[in-house]
Amino acid sequence: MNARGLVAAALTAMAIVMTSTPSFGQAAGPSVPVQGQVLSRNINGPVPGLTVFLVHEFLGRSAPSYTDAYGRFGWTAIPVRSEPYFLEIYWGQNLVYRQPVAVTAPVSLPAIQL
Amino acid sequence: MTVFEVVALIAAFCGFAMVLGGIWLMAKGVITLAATPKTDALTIEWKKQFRMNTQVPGLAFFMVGLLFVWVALRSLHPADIVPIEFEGTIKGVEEPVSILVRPHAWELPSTTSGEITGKIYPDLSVLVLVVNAPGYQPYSKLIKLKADGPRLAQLGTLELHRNVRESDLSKSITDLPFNAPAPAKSENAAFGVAQ
Repeated sequence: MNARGLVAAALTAMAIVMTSTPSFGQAAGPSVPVQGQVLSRNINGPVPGLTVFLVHEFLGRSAPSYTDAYGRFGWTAIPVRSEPYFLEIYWGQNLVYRQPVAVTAPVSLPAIQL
Repeated sequence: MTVFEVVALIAAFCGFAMVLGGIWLMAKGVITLAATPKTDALTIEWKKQFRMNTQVPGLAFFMVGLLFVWVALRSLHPADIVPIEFEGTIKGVEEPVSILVRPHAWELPSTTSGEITGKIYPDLSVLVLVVNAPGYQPYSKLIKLKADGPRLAQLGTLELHRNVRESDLSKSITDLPFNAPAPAKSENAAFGVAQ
C-alpha cells in the first residue's frame, strides 16, 4: 500500500470511529422522567432548597435538581438502565440521603421522609 | 440566511469578481502593470504609520478587491461575547447558596408536521435568576437588561425565607458500591435534564 492509500485508510478509520463511538456520558436507548418529593418528619412539611443527584456506576452523575417550595425534584431524560441508580440528597455540601433507585420505566418515587 | 449574511456574501463575491476581472482586463491588454518612472510612483501614506510606494498603480485594483473580501469576511465574524455582571446581596441566609442564571425561554416556531425546523437568535436580554439555599424557599426573579449600555444586572437585596433547619432532618445513607464523581455543577453533568 502506498502513502496515499495509507492516508485514505487512516481517514476512513477515523471517520468510522468518530461516527460510531458514543461520546462520554451519552447513553443509547430510551430515557424516562424521574421525580420525587422530600418531606421532613419533624416539621411535617416539605424541604426546599436541597440538591438532588442521581448517580450511576457507569454513567456518572446527573445534573443537579433542586427541591422546590413543595420539596419536589425531578429530571427528564434519565437513561433506562438495568443497573440501579443511587439517589443522593445534599444539604448544601452535606450528604443526608442515599438510596438505590431502579430506573426501568418512568419513576415517581414515594415521598422521602427525612 | 439573513439579509446581513446575503450582503456579506455578495460583497465577498464582488471582491473576487474585481480580482478576476482585473486579471481578465490585463489579459485583454486593457490595463497593464507596466512600471512607471520612479518620479511618477504612487505613494500612499497615512499618519506616518503606513507608507506604500509603487510604480505599478494597476495593483490598486487587486487591493480594492481584496479589501472587499476582507471586509466581508470580517463582518461575518461573530461578535465578541460580552460578559453580564451581577450585583446584589442576599439577606439573612446562613446556608450555602447556589445561584442559577438561565436565559428566558427561547421558542421555536410551532409545527404540526412533526418536523423541527427553525432558527434561534440567542437573546440574553431577558434572564431568569434562581437562588436556592437548603431549607429556604427558592427565590426567582426575571431580569431584563438594556440592549445598549453596560451589561449589568442590579439585583438589589434578595430576602429568602427559611422553612427547615438541618437539625430538623434525619439522615439515611447507604454505602455506594462504586466510586462516583464528586457533586458537580450542571454544565459538568453526565446525563439528565433537571426540571
